[in-house]
Amino acid sequence: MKIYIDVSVLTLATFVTGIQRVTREIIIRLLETKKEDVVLLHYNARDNVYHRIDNTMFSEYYRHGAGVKNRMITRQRIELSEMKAGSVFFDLDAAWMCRVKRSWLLPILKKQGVRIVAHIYDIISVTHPQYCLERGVYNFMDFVGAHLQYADDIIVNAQATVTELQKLADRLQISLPVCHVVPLGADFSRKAEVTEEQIPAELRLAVQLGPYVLMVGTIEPRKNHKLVLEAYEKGLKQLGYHVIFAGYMGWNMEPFEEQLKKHPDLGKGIFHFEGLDDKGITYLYQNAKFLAFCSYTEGFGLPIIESILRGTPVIAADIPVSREVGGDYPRWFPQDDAQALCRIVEHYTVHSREYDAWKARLAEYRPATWEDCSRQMQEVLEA
Amino acid sequence: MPESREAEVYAGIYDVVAGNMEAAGKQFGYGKSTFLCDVMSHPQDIAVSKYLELSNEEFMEAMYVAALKRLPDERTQKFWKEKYVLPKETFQREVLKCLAGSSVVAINHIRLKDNPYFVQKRGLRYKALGVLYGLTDKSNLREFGKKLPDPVQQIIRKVFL
Repeated sequence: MKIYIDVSVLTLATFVTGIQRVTREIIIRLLETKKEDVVLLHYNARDNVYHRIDNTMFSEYYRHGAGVKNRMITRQRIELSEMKAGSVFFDLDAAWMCRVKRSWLLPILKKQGVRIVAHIYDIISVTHPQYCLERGVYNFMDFVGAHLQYADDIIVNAQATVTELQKLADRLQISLPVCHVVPLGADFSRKAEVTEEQIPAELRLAVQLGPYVLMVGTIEPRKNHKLVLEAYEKGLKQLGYHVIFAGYMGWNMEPFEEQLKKHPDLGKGIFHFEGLDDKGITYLYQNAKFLAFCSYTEGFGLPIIESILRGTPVIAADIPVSREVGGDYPRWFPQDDAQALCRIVEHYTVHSREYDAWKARLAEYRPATWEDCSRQMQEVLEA
Repeated sequence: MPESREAEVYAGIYDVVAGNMEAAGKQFGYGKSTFLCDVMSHPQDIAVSKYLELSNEEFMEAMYVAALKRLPDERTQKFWKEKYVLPKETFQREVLKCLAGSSVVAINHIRLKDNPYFVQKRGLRYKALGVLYGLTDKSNLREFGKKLPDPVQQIIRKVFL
């Protein structure tokens, strides 16, 4: 059984993060077990044809960082007509950014009897388009519309996403394809302890200043960073905490960026670090008193898992997907309630034994691994 | 515009997104006709006949998105806005002429099909620009591009992508 995967977006990406990271982890493992069956595709918009990617070179590059990315794209053309009944088209990458519209491609594949399996990370572009780049939303409408109509199976990472997909399908009066919930792996979060010598001085100084509340992830509207800033002003500062934001300043955040820059406590009680490597992020997690996770909406909420794995208690806004991912390990506050966030911090600052017990319990947490994730996806592909 | 059940589904998705955007106090920048003309379209071929019934304003936006894969910028919108009063055929011909001469169209080998106004020239310039596609298809060149100053990046995006 051939498994075709279009990785055009991954192979053109200038850095690997988010969806590209997931695509990489899954394909590396698929290639280990089903190397002969997997056909990786790169779309060439000039000739309107897919070119095959060399599986070995792909593995070498994405697993070991060896080789040159461009060279993995071979001259072997894969015509759509080659994809026959009995094979699977697995749409795993962020394919809505690819030139080949799924609304055009999927009907062709379906007609040829190809089974279509989609991995849909979330449908935030549909449910909360105000938090997304407009062009991405536009492309995603095509992608999700096509898969709702043509996919045989849809893989999602949280039940909350199935609920949203079901609502959308109901609204469109179509039946939802079979959905499979496969949690993402999080074993890349098991990092060794980082020592202070490995960390830049400015990061060390911020950490050594005292207890802090950490936020990790690209600074974008839906992550609600402004709430932590508000909490800092309304109580965290008085409680003796500072706040650290770790992540790139994303799009549409000019007002927040301005607010940060002009804040009298920037560099004293409020810190922002961009472009940190894994060691820097691990160092911040392992020394944080709390991770704040305030998103309005999420596809999975990986920082919750990363934080718990590193033994840092999480205080999160109460949204279904975060509940699903974090279980009963985090403490929850109502969305947009900075005072409630402060009250939780205050409680666990005053009751340090309760804090210690909470922190100790995090050691019991067992997230899914990439092996689990890949195996479950393979089961769907082979079903 | 396609009038199938499929198209109804895409129209429904558009309505959901535009509604959610409006509920959040924003307006979705892409028009519904732009989306509905664009779905189910071939990666390189634009069936111009699907767009001919649109108003001048809708036509301009829909054709730009179909050909250049992005909304027209403010300056472009302003330029065409002054021409909305033109008769439909004159306006459509002008827009199509402009897009047919665009470097993005040539580089990505985009073809304007079922065009009642003129046959798209695919001469030396089109072919020469087409060779430049190789520059857009290399991740290392993209990485290099991202290190260039913002204004230079903007020009590159306009010319190539």
